Amino acid sequence: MKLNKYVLLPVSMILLFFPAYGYAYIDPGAGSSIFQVVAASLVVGFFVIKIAFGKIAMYLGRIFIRKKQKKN
Amino acid sequence: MPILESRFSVLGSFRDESGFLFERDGMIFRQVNKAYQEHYDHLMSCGLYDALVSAGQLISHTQSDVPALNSGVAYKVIKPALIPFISYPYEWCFSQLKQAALTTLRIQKTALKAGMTLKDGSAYNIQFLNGKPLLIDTLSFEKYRPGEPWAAYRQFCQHFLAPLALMSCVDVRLNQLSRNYLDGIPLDLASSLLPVWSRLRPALFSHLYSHSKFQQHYEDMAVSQRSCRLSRLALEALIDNLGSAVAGLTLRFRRSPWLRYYSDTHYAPGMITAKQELVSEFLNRDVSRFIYDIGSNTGVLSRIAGRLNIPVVSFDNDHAVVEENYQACCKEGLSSVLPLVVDITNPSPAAGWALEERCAFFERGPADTLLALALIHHLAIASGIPLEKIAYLFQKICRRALVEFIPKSDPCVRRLLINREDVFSGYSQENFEQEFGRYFEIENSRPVPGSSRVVYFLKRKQR
Repeated sequence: MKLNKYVLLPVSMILLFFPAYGYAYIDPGAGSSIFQVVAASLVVGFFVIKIAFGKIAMYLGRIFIRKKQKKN
Repeated sequence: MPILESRFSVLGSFRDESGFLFERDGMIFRQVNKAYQEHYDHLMSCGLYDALVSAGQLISHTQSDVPALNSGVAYKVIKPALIPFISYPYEWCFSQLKQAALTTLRIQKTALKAGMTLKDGSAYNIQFLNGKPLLIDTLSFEKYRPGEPWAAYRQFCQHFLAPLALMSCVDVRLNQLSRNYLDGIPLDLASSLLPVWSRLRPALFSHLYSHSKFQQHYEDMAVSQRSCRLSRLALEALIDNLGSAVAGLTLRFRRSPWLRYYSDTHYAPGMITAKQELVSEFLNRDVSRFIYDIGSNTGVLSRIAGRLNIPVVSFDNDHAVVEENYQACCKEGLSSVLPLVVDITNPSPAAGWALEERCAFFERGPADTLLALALIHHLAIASGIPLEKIAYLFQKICRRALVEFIPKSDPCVRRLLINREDVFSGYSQENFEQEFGRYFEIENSRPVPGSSRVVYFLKRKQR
Protein backbone atom coordinates (compact mmCIF):
# COMPACT_ATOMS: atom_id res chain seq x y z
CA MET A 1 0.00 0.00 0.00
CA LYS A 2 2.78 2.41 0.95
CA LEU A 3 4.53 1.69 -2.31
CA ASN A 4 1.39 2.50 -4.27
CA LYS A 5 0.78 5.72 -2.44
CA TYR A 6 4.25 7.19 -2.34
CA VAL A 7 5.90 5.85 -5.46
CA LEU A 8 3.46 4.77 -8.15
CA LEU A 9 1.15 7.78 -7.94
CA PRO A 10 3.87 10.44 -8.38
CA VAL A 11 5.49 8.40 -11.15
CA SER A 12 2.14 8.12 -12.96
CA MET A 13 1.60 11.88 -12.62
CA ILE A 14 5.03 12.59 -14.09
CA LEU A 15 4.31 10.24 -16.98
CA LEU A 16 0.99 11.99 -17.57
CA PHE A 17 2.66 15.38 -17.87
CA PHE A 18 5.57 14.06 -19.93
CA PRO A 19 3.99 11.64 -22.38
CA ALA A 20 6.08 9.40 -24.58
CA TYR A 21 6.21 10.15 -28.31
CA GLY A 22 3.44 8.80 -30.51
CA TYR A 23 4.75 6.86 -33.50
CA ALA A 24 1.69 6.90 -35.75
CA TYR A 25 3.19 9.27 -38.34
CA ILE A 26 6.68 7.92 -38.22
CA ASP A 27 8.34 6.41 -41.26
CA PRO A 28 11.16 4.05 -40.33
CA GLY A 29 12.24 4.04 -44.01
CA ALA A 30 14.16 7.33 -43.75
CA GLY A 31 16.63 6.00 -41.18
CA SER A 32 16.95 2.77 -43.16
CA SER A 33 17.85 4.64 -46.36
CA ILE A 34 20.51 6.72 -44.61
CA PHE A 35 21.85 3.75 -42.70
CA GLN A 36 22.28 1.60 -45.79
CA VAL A 37 24.43 4.35 -47.34
CA VAL A 38 26.62 4.30 -44.22
CA ALA A 39 26.71 0.48 -44.04
CA ALA A 40 27.46 0.11 -47.76
CA SER A 41 30.27 2.69 -47.53
CA LEU A 42 31.82 0.69 -44.70
CA VAL A 43 31.75 -2.65 -46.50
CA VAL A 44 32.56 -1.55 -50.05
CA GLY A 45 36.34 -1.67 -49.42
CA PHE A 46 36.14 -5.28 -48.17
CA PHE A 47 33.95 -6.13 -51.16
CA VAL A 48 36.52 -4.77 -53.62
CA ILE A 49 39.29 -6.76 -51.90
CA LYS A 50 37.08 -9.87 -51.92
CA ILE A 51 36.44 -9.55 -55.66
CA ALA A 52 40.14 -8.93 -56.32
CA PHE A 53 41.12 -12.02 -54.30
CA GLY A 54 38.49 -14.04 -56.13
CA LYS A 55 39.91 -13.00 -59.50
CA ILE A 56 43.49 -13.71 -58.42
CA ALA A 57 42.42 -17.13 -57.09
CA MET A 58 40.65 -17.87 -60.36
CA TYR A 59 43.70 -16.79 -62.38
CA LEU A 60 46.06 -18.94 -60.27
CA GLY A 61 43.61 -21.82 -60.49
CA ARG A 62 43.62 -21.66 -64.28
CA ILE A 63 47.45 -21.66 -64.35
CA PHE A 64 47.50 -24.64 -61.98
CA ILE A 65 45.00 -26.58 -64.12
CA ARG A 66 46.94 -25.80 -67.31
CA LYS A 67 50.18 -27.04 -65.73
CA LYS A 68 48.45 -30.20 -64.57
CA GLN A 69 47.00 -30.79 -68.03
CA LYS A 70 50.43 -30.30 -69.60
CA LYS A 71 51.93 -32.83 -67.19
CA ASN A 72 49.23 -35.36 -68.05
CA MET B 1 -4.66 -22.61 -53.76
CA PRO B 2 -7.42 -20.86 -51.87
CA ILE B 3 -10.39 -19.58 -53.74
CA LEU B 4 -11.46 -16.29 -52.27
CA GLU B 5 -13.85 -13.50 -53.12
CA SER B 6 -13.59 -13.11 -56.90
CA ARG B 7 -14.57 -9.45 -57.00
CA PHE B 8 -11.40 -8.48 -55.20
CA SER B 9 -7.72 -9.12 -55.45
CA VAL B 10 -6.63 -12.13 -53.46
CA LEU B 11 -3.77 -13.43 -51.36
CA GLY B 12 -2.71 -10.14 -49.86
CA SER B 13 -1.67 -8.62 -53.16
CA PHE B 14 -3.95 -5.57 -52.96
CA ARG B 15 -1.31 -3.24 -51.51
CA ASP B 16 0.72 -3.16 -54.72
CA GLU B 17 -0.13 -0.51 -57.33
CA SER B 18 1.72 -2.49 -60.00
CA GLY B 19 -0.97 -5.16 -60.12
CA PHE B 20 -2.70 -7.86 -58.12
CA LEU B 21 -3.80 -11.47 -58.11
CA PHE B 22 -7.38 -12.43 -58.70
CA GLU B 23 -9.33 -15.64 -58.96
CA ARG B 24 -11.59 -16.65 -61.82
CA ASP B 25 -13.21 -20.04 -62.40
CA GLY B 26 -11.03 -21.57 -59.72
CA MET B 27 -7.81 -20.35 -61.34
CA ILE B 28 -5.42 -17.63 -60.20
CA PHE B 29 -4.45 -14.77 -62.52
CA ARG B 30 -2.34 -11.66 -62.07
CA GLN B 31 -3.38 -8.31 -63.47
CA VAL B 32 -0.48 -6.09 -64.52
CA ASN B 33 -1.45 -2.43 -64.29
CA LYS B 34 -0.49 0.30 -66.75
CA ALA B 35 1.52 1.93 -63.96
CA TYR B 36 3.89 -1.04 -64.13
CA GLN B 37 3.97 -1.39 -67.94
CA GLU B 38 7.47 0.08 -68.41
CA HIS B 39 9.01 -2.18 -65.77
CA TYR B 40 7.11 -5.28 -66.92
CA ASP B 41 8.19 -4.83 -70.54
CA HIS B 42 11.79 -4.32 -69.45
CA LEU B 43 11.67 -7.44 -67.25
CA MET B 44 10.45 -9.54 -70.17
CA SER B 45 12.76 -8.05 -72.80
CA CYS B 46 16.06 -7.67 -70.94
CA GLY B 47 16.48 -11.41 -70.38
CA LEU B 48 16.02 -11.25 -66.60
CA TYR B 49 12.71 -13.14 -66.62
CA ASP B 50 14.16 -15.98 -68.71
CA ALA B 51 17.35 -16.13 -66.63
CA LEU B 52 15.48 -16.30 -63.32
CA VAL B 53 12.83 -18.76 -64.52
CA SER B 54 15.44 -21.11 -65.96
CA ALA B 55 17.37 -20.90 -62.67
CA GLY B 56 14.16 -21.88 -60.82
CA GLN B 57 14.20 -18.62 -58.88
CA LEU B 58 11.13 -16.91 -60.36
CA ILE B 59 7.65 -18.25 -60.99
CA SER B 60 6.89 -18.73 -64.69
CA HIS B 61 3.77 -17.32 -66.29
CA THR B 62 1.88 -17.26 -69.56
CA GLN B 63 -0.10 -14.47 -71.20
CA SER B 64 -3.81 -14.87 -70.66
CA ASP B 65 -6.89 -13.81 -72.61
CA VAL B 66 -8.97 -13.66 -69.44
CA PRO B 67 -10.55 -10.20 -69.08
CA ALA B 68 -8.86 -7.95 -66.51
CA LEU B 69 -10.61 -7.46 -63.20
CA ASN B 70 -10.09 -3.71 -63.28
CA SER B 71 -9.83 -2.99 -67.01
CA GLY B 72 -9.44 0.80 -66.62
CA VAL B 73 -5.95 0.48 -65.22
CA ALA B 74 -5.00 -2.90 -66.67
CA TYR B 75 -2.11 -3.44 -69.04
CA LYS B 76 -2.06 -7.24 -69.22
CA VAL B 77 -3.33 -10.35 -67.51
CA ILE B 78 -0.89 -13.17 -66.89
CA LYS B 79 -1.42 -16.66 -65.51
CA PRO B 80 1.30 -17.68 -63.07
CA ALA B 81 2.27 -21.33 -62.58
CA LEU B 82 0.35 -23.04 -59.80
CA ILE B 83 1.93 -23.39 -56.37
CA PRO B 84 0.42 -26.55 -54.82
CA PHE B 85 0.46 -25.19 -51.28
CA ILE B 86 1.04 -21.65 -50.01
CA SER B 87 3.14 -21.56 -46.84
CA TYR B 88 4.19 -18.62 -44.72
CA PRO B 89 7.55 -17.70 -43.13
CA TYR B 90 6.32 -18.41 -39.60
CA GLU B 91 5.69 -21.99 -40.71
CA TRP B 92 9.18 -22.52 -42.08
CA CYS B 93 12.07 -24.09 -40.22
CA PHE B 94 15.36 -22.23 -39.87
CA SER B 95 16.94 -23.67 -43.02
CA GLN B 96 13.88 -22.91 -45.13
CA LEU B 97 13.90 -19.26 -44.02
CA LYS B 98 17.65 -19.07 -44.60
CA GLN B 99 17.33 -20.52 -48.11
CA ALA B 100 14.49 -18.10 -48.86
CA ALA B 101 16.70 -15.18 -47.72
CA LEU B 102 19.66 -16.28 -49.81
CA THR B 103 17.43 -16.79 -52.85
CA THR B 104 16.08 -13.23 -52.47
CA LEU B 105 19.64 -11.88 -52.43
CA ARG B 106 20.68 -14.01 -55.42
CA ILE B 107 17.69 -12.67 -57.36
CA GLN B 108 18.65 -9.10 -56.44
CA LYS B 109 22.22 -9.69 -57.67
CA THR B 110 20.95 -11.11 -60.98
CA ALA B 111 18.45 -8.27 -61.32
CA LEU B 112 21.18 -5.65 -60.85
CA LYS B 113 23.20 -7.22 -63.65
CA ALA B 114 20.14 -6.84 -65.90
CA GLY B 115 19.60 -3.22 -64.88
CA MET B 116 16.70 -3.93 -62.54
CA THR B 117 16.24 -4.12 -58.79
CA LEU B 118 13.86 -5.76 -56.33
CA LYS B 119 11.50 -3.23 -54.82
CA ASP B 120 10.24 -5.72 -52.19
CA GLY B 121 12.17 -7.84 -49.74
CA SER B 122 9.12 -9.58 -48.36
CA ALA B 123 9.40 -13.18 -47.21
CA TYR B 124 5.78 -13.67 -48.33
CA ASN B 125 6.93 -13.23 -51.92
CA ILE B 126 8.85 -16.47 -51.60
CA GLN B 127 7.19 -19.88 -51.83
CA PHE B 128 8.52 -23.41 -51.99
CA LEU B 129 7.97 -25.19 -55.29
CA ASN B 130 9.56 -28.59 -55.94
CA GLY B 131 11.44 -28.24 -52.69
CA LYS B 132 13.14 -24.99 -53.66
CA PRO B 133 12.35 -21.37 -52.77
CA LEU B 134 11.25 -19.14 -55.62
CA LEU B 135 9.91 -15.62 -56.03
CA ILE B 136 6.21 -15.64 -56.82
CA ASP B 137 5.71 -11.90 -57.32
CA THR B 138 6.56 -11.15 -60.95
CA LEU B 139 5.84 -7.47 -60.32
CA SER B 140 8.56 -7.11 -57.67
CA PHE B 141 11.11 -5.71 -60.12
CA GLU B 142 11.64 -2.17 -61.25
CA LYS B 143 14.26 -0.48 -63.41
CA TYR B 144 17.41 0.33 -61.46
CA ARG B 145 18.16 4.04 -61.34
CA PRO B 146 21.87 4.70 -60.70
CA GLY B 147 22.50 6.13 -57.27
CA GLU B 148 19.29 4.84 -55.69
CA PRO B 149 19.59 2.86 -52.46
CA TRP B 150 17.90 -0.54 -52.19
CA ALA B 151 14.23 0.15 -51.42
CA ALA B 152 13.79 -3.35 -50.00
CA TYR B 153 16.66 -3.13 -47.50
CA ARG B 154 14.54 -2.45 -44.41
CA GLN B 155 12.00 -5.09 -45.38
CA PHE B 156 14.74 -7.67 -45.98
CA CYS B 157 16.23 -7.00 -42.54
CA GLN B 158 12.82 -7.25 -40.85
CA HIS B 159 11.52 -10.26 -42.80
CA PHE B 160 14.68 -12.34 -42.96
CA LEU B 161 17.71 -11.17 -41.01
CA ALA B 162 15.92 -10.33 -37.73
CA PRO B 163 14.00 -13.63 -37.40
CA LEU B 164 17.03 -15.66 -38.50
CA ALA B 165 19.25 -13.89 -35.96
CA LEU B 166 16.68 -14.44 -33.20
CA MET B 167 16.31 -18.12 -34.12
CA SER B 168 20.06 -18.56 -34.27
CA CYS B 169 21.13 -16.54 -31.22
CA VAL B 170 18.15 -16.82 -28.85
CA ASP B 171 15.54 -19.50 -29.52
CA VAL B 172 14.35 -21.11 -32.70
CA ARG B 173 10.73 -20.70 -31.59
CA LEU B 174 11.02 -16.92 -31.90
CA ASN B 175 10.16 -17.38 -35.58
CA GLN B 176 6.58 -17.32 -34.32
CA LEU B 177 6.97 -13.56 -33.79
CA SER B 178 6.54 -13.21 -37.56
CA ARG B 179 2.99 -14.50 -37.12
CA ASN B 180 2.16 -11.31 -35.26
CA TYR B 181 4.38 -8.88 -37.15
CA LEU B 182 3.32 -9.42 -40.76
CA ASP B 183 5.70 -6.73 -42.07
CA GLY B 184 8.63 -8.38 -40.37
CA ILE B 185 9.97 -8.18 -36.85
CA PRO B 186 10.61 -4.53 -35.86
CA LEU B 187 14.35 -4.00 -35.58
CA ASP B 188 14.15 -2.33 -32.16
CA LEU B 189 12.33 -5.39 -30.85
CA ALA B 190 14.84 -7.77 -32.42
CA SER B 191 17.71 -5.71 -30.97
CA SER B 192 16.24 -5.79 -27.48
CA LEU B 193 15.71 -9.56 -27.61
CA LEU B 194 19.13 -10.47 -28.97
CA PRO B 195 21.84 -11.26 -26.40
CA VAL B 196 24.60 -8.71 -25.80
CA TRP B 197 27.26 -11.05 -27.25
CA SER B 198 25.52 -11.01 -30.63
CA ARG B 199 26.66 -7.36 -30.99
CA LEU B 200 30.18 -8.71 -31.42
CA ARG B 201 29.11 -10.04 -34.82
CA PRO B 202 29.72 -7.09 -37.18
CA ALA B 203 26.86 -7.99 -39.54
CA LEU B 204 24.26 -8.17 -36.75
CA PHE B 205 25.69 -5.09 -35.04
CA SER B 206 25.32 -3.09 -38.23
CA HIS B 207 22.19 -4.40 -39.99
CA LEU B 208 20.13 -4.85 -36.83
CA TYR B 209 21.43 -2.77 -33.88
CA SER B 210 22.83 0.26 -35.69
CA HIS B 211 20.07 0.10 -38.31
CA SER B 212 17.49 0.22 -35.52
CA LYS B 213 19.23 3.22 -33.89
CA PHE B 214 19.24 5.07 -37.22
CA GLN B 215 15.53 4.35 -37.65
CA GLN B 216 14.86 5.83 -34.23
CA HIS B 217 17.10 8.85 -34.79
CA TYR B 218 15.63 9.80 -38.16
CA GLU B 219 12.06 8.74 -37.46
CA ASP B 220 10.64 12.28 -37.41
CA MET B 221 13.15 14.02 -39.68
CA ALA B 222 12.78 14.94 -43.31
CA VAL B 223 15.54 13.28 -45.27
CA SER B 224 16.56 14.59 -48.69
CA GLN B 225 17.07 12.08 -51.47
CA ARG B 226 20.51 13.60 -52.14
CA SER B 227 21.80 12.33 -48.81
CA CYS B 228 20.80 8.78 -49.75
CA ARG B 229 22.88 8.23 -52.88
CA LEU B 230 24.54 4.87 -53.24
CA SER B 231 26.89 3.81 -56.02
CA ARG B 232 26.24 0.57 -57.86
CA LEU B 233 29.43 -0.94 -56.40
CA ALA B 234 28.40 0.06 -52.86
CA LEU B 235 24.96 -1.45 -53.44
CA GLU B 236 26.52 -4.71 -54.60
CA ALA B 237 28.76 -4.63 -51.54
CA LEU B 238 25.71 -4.21 -49.29
CA ILE B 239 23.92 -7.17 -50.91
CA ASP B 240 27.08 -9.26 -50.61
CA ASN B 241 27.44 -8.31 -46.95
CA LEU B 242 23.82 -9.22 -46.23
CA GLY B 243 24.46 -12.58 -47.93
CA SER B 244 27.47 -13.21 -45.68
CA ALA B 245 25.41 -12.19 -42.63
CA VAL B 246 22.65 -14.67 -43.50
CA ALA B 247 25.04 -17.45 -44.49
CA GLY B 248 26.92 -17.03 -41.19
CA LEU B 249 23.85 -17.72 -39.08
CA THR B 250 23.46 -21.30 -37.94
CA LEU B 251 21.25 -23.22 -35.56
CA ARG B 252 23.18 -23.61 -32.33
CA PHE B 253 20.84 -26.05 -30.57
CA ARG B 254 19.05 -28.88 -32.28
CA ARG B 255 18.18 -30.97 -29.28
CA SER B 256 14.69 -32.35 -28.98
CA PRO B 257 13.30 -35.54 -27.43
CA TRP B 258 11.28 -36.00 -30.64
CA LEU B 259 14.43 -36.36 -32.75
CA ARG B 260 15.04 -39.85 -31.37
CA TYR B 261 11.38 -40.88 -31.43
CA TYR B 262 11.80 -43.84 -33.75
CA SER B 263 15.00 -45.06 -32.13
CA ASP B 264 13.54 -44.79 -28.63
CA THR B 265 13.09 -47.98 -26.67
CA HIS B 266 9.29 -47.96 -26.82
CA TYR B 267 9.41 -48.87 -30.51
CA ALA B 268 9.82 -52.64 -30.87
CA PRO B 269 12.17 -53.83 -33.61
CA GLY B 270 10.39 -54.02 -36.93
CA MET B 271 7.51 -51.78 -35.80
CA ILE B 272 8.49 -48.82 -37.92
CA THR B 273 8.99 -51.11 -40.95
CA ALA B 274 5.51 -52.53 -40.39
CA LYS B 275 4.09 -49.01 -40.27
CA GLN B 276 5.90 -48.05 -43.48
CA GLU B 277 4.37 -51.09 -45.18
CA LEU B 278 0.91 -50.11 -43.94
CA VAL B 279 1.35 -46.58 -45.32
CA SER B 280 2.45 -47.96 -48.71
CA GLU B 281 -0.53 -50.33 -48.75
CA PHE B 282 -2.92 -47.49 -47.86
CA LEU B 283 -1.54 -45.17 -50.54
CA ASN B 284 -1.70 -47.88 -53.18
CA ARG B 285 -5.40 -48.61 -52.48
CA ASP B 286 -6.68 -45.35 -53.93
CA VAL B 287 -5.50 -42.22 -55.74
CA SER B 288 -4.15 -39.48 -53.48
CA ARG B 289 -3.75 -36.03 -54.96
CA PHE B 290 -2.48 -34.22 -51.89
CA ILE B 291 -1.54 -35.46 -48.45
CA TYR B 292 -1.35 -33.94 -44.98
CA ASP B 293 0.98 -35.85 -42.68
CA ILE B 294 0.02 -34.53 -39.25
CA GLY B 295 2.56 -34.90 -36.46
CA SER B 296 5.02 -36.09 -39.08
CA ASN B 297 8.08 -36.10 -36.79
CA THR B 298 11.18 -36.39 -39.00
CA GLY B 299 9.02 -37.24 -42.03
CA VAL B 300 9.93 -40.93 -42.35
CA LEU B 301 6.36 -41.77 -43.42
CA SER B 302 5.85 -38.58 -45.47
CA ARG B 303 8.78 -39.53 -47.64
CA ILE B 304 7.07 -42.80 -48.63
CA ALA B 305 4.36 -40.69 -50.28
CA GLY B 306 7.00 -38.25 -51.54
CA ARG B 307 8.77 -41.08 -53.37
CA LEU B 308 5.46 -41.80 -55.15
CA ASN B 309 5.52 -38.16 -56.29
CA ILE B 310 2.40 -37.30 -54.32
CA PRO B 311 2.55 -33.75 -52.89
CA VAL B 312 2.76 -33.94 -49.10
CA VAL B 313 2.52 -31.19 -46.51
CA SER B 314 4.39 -32.80 -43.65
CA PHE B 315 3.93 -30.85 -40.44
CA ASP B 316 4.82 -31.05 -36.79
CA ASN B 317 4.97 -28.56 -33.93
CA ASP B 318 8.57 -29.39 -33.02
CA HIS B 319 11.08 -27.22 -34.83
CA ALA B 320 14.00 -29.66 -34.54
CA VAL B 321 12.18 -32.54 -36.25
CA VAL B 322 10.91 -30.29 -39.06
CA GLU B 323 14.47 -29.10 -39.60
CA GLU B 324 15.59 -32.74 -39.75
CA ASN B 325 12.75 -33.53 -42.14
CA TYR B 326 13.71 -30.64 -44.45
CA GLN B 327 17.40 -31.66 -44.44
CA ALA B 328 16.47 -35.27 -45.22
CA CYS B 329 14.20 -34.20 -48.11
CA CYS B 330 16.97 -31.98 -49.54
CA LYS B 331 19.51 -34.79 -49.19
CA GLU B 332 17.24 -37.29 -50.92
CA GLY B 333 16.13 -34.75 -53.53
CA LEU B 334 12.46 -35.25 -52.64
CA SER B 335 10.73 -32.26 -54.09
CA SER B 336 7.11 -33.18 -53.39
CA VAL B 337 7.40 -33.06 -49.58
CA LEU B 338 6.95 -29.68 -47.90
CA PRO B 339 7.92 -29.86 -44.21
CA LEU B 340 6.35 -27.13 -42.05
CA VAL B 341 6.29 -26.10 -38.39
CA VAL B 342 2.58 -26.16 -37.57
CA ASP B 343 0.86 -27.12 -34.34
CA ILE B 344 -2.32 -29.05 -35.15
CA THR B 345 -3.83 -27.88 -31.85
CA ASN B 346 -3.24 -24.25 -32.84
CA PRO B 347 -2.74 -24.02 -36.62
CA SER B 348 -1.88 -20.70 -38.31
CA PRO B 349 -4.96 -18.47 -38.33
CA ALA B 350 -6.09 -16.04 -41.01
CA ALA B 351 -4.27 -12.72 -40.58
CA GLY B 352 -3.82 -9.22 -41.92
CA TRP B 353 -6.34 -6.73 -43.25
CA ALA B 354 -9.91 -8.02 -42.81
CA LEU B 355 -8.29 -11.38 -42.04
CA GLU B 356 -7.90 -11.84 -45.80
CA GLU B 357 -4.23 -11.12 -46.42
CA ARG B 358 -2.97 -14.42 -45.04
CA CYS B 359 -5.16 -17.50 -45.16
CA ALA B 360 -5.69 -19.86 -42.26
CA PHE B 361 -3.70 -23.08 -42.58
CA PHE B 362 -6.51 -25.44 -43.50
CA GLU B 363 -8.06 -22.93 -45.95
CA ARG B 364 -5.01 -23.23 -48.15
CA GLY B 365 -4.91 -26.94 -48.72
CA PRO B 366 -6.63 -29.07 -51.27
CA ALA B 367 -5.58 -32.20 -49.31
CA ASP B 368 -7.65 -35.30 -49.86
CA THR B 369 -5.63 -37.75 -47.80
CA LEU B 370 -4.46 -37.60 -44.23
CA LEU B 371 -1.83 -39.55 -42.32
CA ALA B 372 -2.14 -39.42 -38.54
CA LEU B 373 0.15 -42.05 -37.09
CA ALA B 374 1.19 -42.02 -33.44
CA LEU B 375 -0.75 -38.80 -32.99
CA ILE B 376 -4.20 -39.45 -31.52
CA HIS B 377 -2.91 -40.21 -27.99
CA HIS B 378 -1.01 -36.89 -27.92
CA LEU B 379 -4.12 -34.98 -28.97
CA ALA B 380 -6.52 -36.84 -26.68
CA ILE B 381 -4.35 -37.19 -23.57
CA ALA B 382 -1.55 -34.59 -23.71
CA SER B 383 -3.77 -31.86 -25.21
CA GLY B 384 -7.09 -33.05 -23.80
CA ILE B 385 -9.01 -32.92 -27.09
CA PRO B 386 -11.97 -35.34 -27.11
CA LEU B 387 -12.01 -38.04 -29.82
CA GLU B 388 -15.26 -36.53 -31.08
CA LYS B 389 -13.50 -33.23 -31.87
CA ILE B 390 -10.56 -34.98 -33.51
CA ALA B 391 -12.87 -37.00 -35.78
CA TYR B 392 -14.80 -33.83 -36.67
CA LEU B 393 -11.65 -31.95 -37.73
CA PHE B 394 -10.29 -34.88 -39.74
CA GLN B 395 -13.51 -35.28 -41.76
CA LYS B 396 -13.37 -31.55 -42.56
CA ILE B 397 -9.87 -31.63 -44.03
CA CYS B 398 -9.66 -34.95 -45.89
CA ARG B 399 -11.52 -37.55 -47.91
CA ARG B 400 -9.66 -40.54 -46.55
CA ALA B 401 -7.32 -41.08 -43.66
CA LEU B 402 -4.87 -43.51 -42.14
CA VAL B 403 -5.17 -43.16 -38.37
CA GLU B 404 -3.34 -45.09 -35.68
CA PHE B 405 -5.06 -45.77 -32.38
CA ILE B 406 -2.76 -46.38 -29.42
CA PRO B 407 -4.50 -47.90 -26.38
CA LYS B 408 -3.81 -47.00 -22.76
CA SER B 409 -1.86 -50.24 -22.30
CA ASP B 410 0.82 -49.01 -24.75
CA PRO B 411 4.10 -47.83 -23.13
CA CYS B 412 3.81 -44.45 -24.89
CA VAL B 413 0.38 -43.75 -23.40
CA ARG B 414 1.48 -45.06 -20.00
CA ARG B 415 4.35 -42.59 -20.14
CA LEU B 416 1.90 -39.76 -20.93
CA LEU B 417 -0.18 -40.75 -17.90
CA ILE B 418 2.72 -41.03 -15.41
CA ASN B 419 2.21 -37.56 -13.97
CA ARG B 420 -1.41 -37.07 -14.99
CA GLU B 421 -4.60 -38.17 -13.36
CA ASP B 422 -6.36 -40.51 -15.77
CA VAL B 423 -9.48 -38.50 -16.46
CA PHE B 424 -9.66 -39.78 -20.02
CA SER B 425 -12.37 -42.38 -19.61
CA GLY B 426 -13.58 -41.70 -23.15
CA TYR B 427 -10.22 -42.72 -24.59
CA SER B 428 -10.85 -46.28 -25.71
CA GLN B 429 -10.79 -48.23 -28.94
CA GLU B 430 -14.59 -48.69 -28.85
CA ASN B 431 -15.11 -44.95 -28.45
CA PHE B 432 -12.59 -44.24 -31.20
CA GLU B 433 -14.48 -46.50 -33.62
CA GLN B 434 -17.79 -44.96 -32.59
CA GLU B 435 -16.69 -41.32 -32.98
CA PHE B 436 -14.78 -41.82 -36.23
CA GLY B 437 -17.58 -44.09 -37.47
CA ARG B 438 -19.91 -41.07 -37.47
CA TYR B 439 -18.01 -39.50 -40.34
CA PHE B 440 -15.91 -42.29 -41.83
CA GLU B 441 -16.41 -45.81 -43.10
CA ILE B 442 -13.81 -48.09 -41.55
CA GLU B 443 -12.48 -49.87 -44.62
CA ASN B 444 -9.89 -51.86 -42.76
CA SER B 445 -8.21 -52.08 -39.38
CA ARG B 446 -4.81 -53.67 -38.99
CA PRO B 447 -2.79 -54.38 -35.86
CA VAL B 448 0.76 -53.06 -35.76
CA PRO B 449 2.99 -56.11 -35.21
CA GLY B 450 4.81 -56.17 -31.88
CA SER B 451 2.31 -53.82 -30.20
CA SER B 452 -1.29 -53.39 -29.13
CA ARG B 453 -1.77 -50.54 -31.60
CA VAL B 454 -4.28 -50.60 -34.45
CA VAL B 455 -4.13 -48.71 -37.73
CA TYR B 456 -7.44 -47.77 -39.35
CA PHE B 457 -8.03 -47.23 -43.06
CA LEU B 458 -10.83 -44.64 -43.12
CA LYS B 459 -12.95 -43.30 -45.97
CA ARG B 460 -15.22 -40.29 -45.42
CA LYS B 461 -18.92 -41.04 -45.74
CA GLN B 462 -20.89 -39.29 -48.47
CA ARG B 463 -22.30 -36.00 -47.18
